[in-house]
Amino acid sequence: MSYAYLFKYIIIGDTGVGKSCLLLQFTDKRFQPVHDLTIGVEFGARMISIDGKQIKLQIWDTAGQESFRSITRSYYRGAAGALLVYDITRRDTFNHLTTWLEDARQHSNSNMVIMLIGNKSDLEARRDVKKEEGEAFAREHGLIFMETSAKTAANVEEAFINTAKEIYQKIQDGVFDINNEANGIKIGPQHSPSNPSMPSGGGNAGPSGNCC
Amino acid sequence: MELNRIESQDDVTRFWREEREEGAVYNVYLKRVTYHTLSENENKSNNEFSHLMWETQKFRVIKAGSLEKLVEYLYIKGEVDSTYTTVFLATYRTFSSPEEVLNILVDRYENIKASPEGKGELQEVQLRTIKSVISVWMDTYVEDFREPPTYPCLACLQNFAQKHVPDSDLVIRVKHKMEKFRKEDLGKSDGNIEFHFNLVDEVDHMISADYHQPLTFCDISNQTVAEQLTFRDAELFKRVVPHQCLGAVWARRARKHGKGGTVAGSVLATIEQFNRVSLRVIATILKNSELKSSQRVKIIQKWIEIAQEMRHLKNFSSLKAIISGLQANAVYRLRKAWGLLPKESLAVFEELSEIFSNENNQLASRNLLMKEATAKFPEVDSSNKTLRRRNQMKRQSWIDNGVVQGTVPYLGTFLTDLTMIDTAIPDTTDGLINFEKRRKEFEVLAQIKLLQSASQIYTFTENERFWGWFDAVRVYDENESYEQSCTIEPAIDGSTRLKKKSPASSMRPSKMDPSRFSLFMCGGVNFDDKASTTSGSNPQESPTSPNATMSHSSSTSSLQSYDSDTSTPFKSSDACVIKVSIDTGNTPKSHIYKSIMLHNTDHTHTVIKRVMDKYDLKGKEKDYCLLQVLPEDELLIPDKVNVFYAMNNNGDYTFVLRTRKEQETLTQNKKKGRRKLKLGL
Repeated sequence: MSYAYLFKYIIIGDTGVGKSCLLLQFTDKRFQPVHDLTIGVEFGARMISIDGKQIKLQIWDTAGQESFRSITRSYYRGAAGALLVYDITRRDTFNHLTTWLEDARQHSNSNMVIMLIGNKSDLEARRDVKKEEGEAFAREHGLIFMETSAKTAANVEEAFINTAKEIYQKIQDGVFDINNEANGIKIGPQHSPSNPSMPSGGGNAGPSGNCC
Repeated sequence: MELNRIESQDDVTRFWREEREEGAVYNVYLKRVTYHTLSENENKSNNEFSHLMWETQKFRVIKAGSLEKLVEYLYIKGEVDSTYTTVFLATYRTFSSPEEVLNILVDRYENIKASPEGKGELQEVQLRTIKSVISVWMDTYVEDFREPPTYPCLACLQNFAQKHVPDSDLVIRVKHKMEKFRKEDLGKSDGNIEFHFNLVDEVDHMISADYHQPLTFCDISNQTVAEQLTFRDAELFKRVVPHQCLGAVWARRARKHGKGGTVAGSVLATIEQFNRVSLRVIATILKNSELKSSQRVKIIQKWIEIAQEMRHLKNFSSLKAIISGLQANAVYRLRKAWGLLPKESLAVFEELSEIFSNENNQLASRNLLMKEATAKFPEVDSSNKTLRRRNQMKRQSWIDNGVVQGTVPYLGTFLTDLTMIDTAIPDTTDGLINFEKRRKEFEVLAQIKLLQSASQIYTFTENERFWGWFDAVRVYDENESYEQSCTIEPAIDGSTRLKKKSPASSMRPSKMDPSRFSLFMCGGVNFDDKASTTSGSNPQESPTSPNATMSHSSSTSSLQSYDSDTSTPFKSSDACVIKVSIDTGNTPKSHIYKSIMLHNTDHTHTVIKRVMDKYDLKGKEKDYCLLQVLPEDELLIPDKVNVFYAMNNNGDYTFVLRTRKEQETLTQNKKKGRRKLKLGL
């Protein structure tokens, strides 16, 4: 299926905050483990539409691997968006946000759009972190914020799509260099510009301009 | 006449329908089986059709059921259904307990025996099947029966055996197990102490930097490091209890502490070793801050060589641990050292990193594992000529010496898969246990089991001296390693941690709180900027290369200076004032400028238009271009960008408007000069 852009997302946060739930909820539970690889079902991908443009979201998740010290720059590299997830019923997961954020800022593209997500909003009775606290944290660190429930699907679509909108806006604003794949954005196959071999390492090549 | 079943294309299995009964749901399949006679094979001239026979067999598979139904399904058909039994025994802990299952089995056994039909043929077979299921269970999952101090399951089993099969070997086996467990578990408390002692030990090493080291890293041959780590990894992997990897079990790893560890102890042990390796990679590289870059690069190079050895040994666990260590920020940011890395080493590092790419749900490492898991040697290829030749030589030497390598996988991939399956498929359907989910999980567990057998093939023995060194390495925690790293190569702004990778200086997230503002304003340059100006001479530059810009977006200038951490007064988060002068090319450079308000929504053409209006210039916007004047150069603001974000924050927001024609002439002259500047840096 054709698309104008492909955005790479990553999902980060503590064990058990519902990272894989969010992903599966958003991708209609199309998870195909190992043996189905040959069938070629693409895992963790979905099409959305912004501004009349088809955008493919490709979402990476390493749920289950949190205890390995293996989530290094290669994971963050080239992500245009990140969902930083905590569980509103477990304060410790909220307290760890700084560490995750530090990690993300260290390893990732500086333009990466980070969406802070307080998950499990369906468990209001067991709430341990106030919504205002999430909002305050987001404000303080320049993140977008949303409370979701992967279980009831509340705000799940919005979380992924709003992040995409923010990225899309940055492209429009010329903040992201779409020719540099390290930014986590690819141009769809039929949308490639006439000059795709723009130097991207030098840092001063604009999306459309020449170097001076 | 003998009938022979021949596989033919007609022998297809088709899903037919779902059947429900009280407490269970089945999938019913139809399978067409073709038979033909042996004589037909012998005499082809016979009329083929006269002997050809086929039939449709109906068989059903339990899909979901109550616990009772699932247990009954183990024996209800008569003979042992080995596939079902295997899947059931591997996964039942997610919905039941050993005690519960055993009680049902024993209860059913006694019921069948006491029933009036107890002597029927089917009943006889069922009773036998129950006994063999119990026997298989005890053989394969003996740990299920280790429940100190009273061992209720073993006691129940002992009772059962004595009552119903007093003269069978089951009685003896149960008795042996009981004695064995009692003995081992008594001594276990010592084991725990030892474990704690080790932990304390490690902390001690962390405190005392000059702990006596019998060996230094450089003394140890790469082969020894690779073999020893592989020896340890294989030992730990063999001991991984596959069902502890199940998503539902693994998710509880931290929360449920039993007396002898967590619910997933064997998995955690593997991960701990992985992290220990990673930490030692970081520690050895950062250890001596006095070291010259030219010496430090030797250590990096050595780890890359060891990683390559790992690849040859098909040890993907430590391979990934080393790569992860090298990619840790504290190590990766050591630009000077990496810059000295020989081209060839960098190529190896990149190729090995590629194995663990997350692209396509980790397709690369999965394919590799599938291909090599049970192969004798790895299929090491390389795009680099020298490396390829070397790999071929290595391979030949394995063949010549009859060396066969085992395999150790990176367990994380399986843990993610099992987490996903656990999340994607519900535990119950219509109030019944969803056994289909367990079948899916089993497919992953079966792979782990297969690889466990492959990990037995290694023949290394423990080298105590190596482990003496390994355990004595002083490791750093996250903060320490970053600080240490900064001592080696100072961070530009050097203060708080969040600053060290400040978002690219010239652009900031649009949603930003003023309190963080200063933080983004200062610390103009990050390491990547530096890289982009220095790595021009490095032909190996690629996105994975440490020398490549990691995150740079287009309009950032690579010309920022290092000592610019003065914040600029004219700037707020959504607007600022810029000074623009006009360069007509004819007149000498003007020092007269006009101030222009720049909003964060202004694109290049609007700004140009505004400047033209201010200066009352005639002509078209597109005939002009806007450039930011920086201390050493000018930054061309590209055509269709947001100027607010595209400009460099380190200059003092001085711009010049110039005609395109003039600009082109200047560019030609400048290019040469600037290239010189780059190389000189």
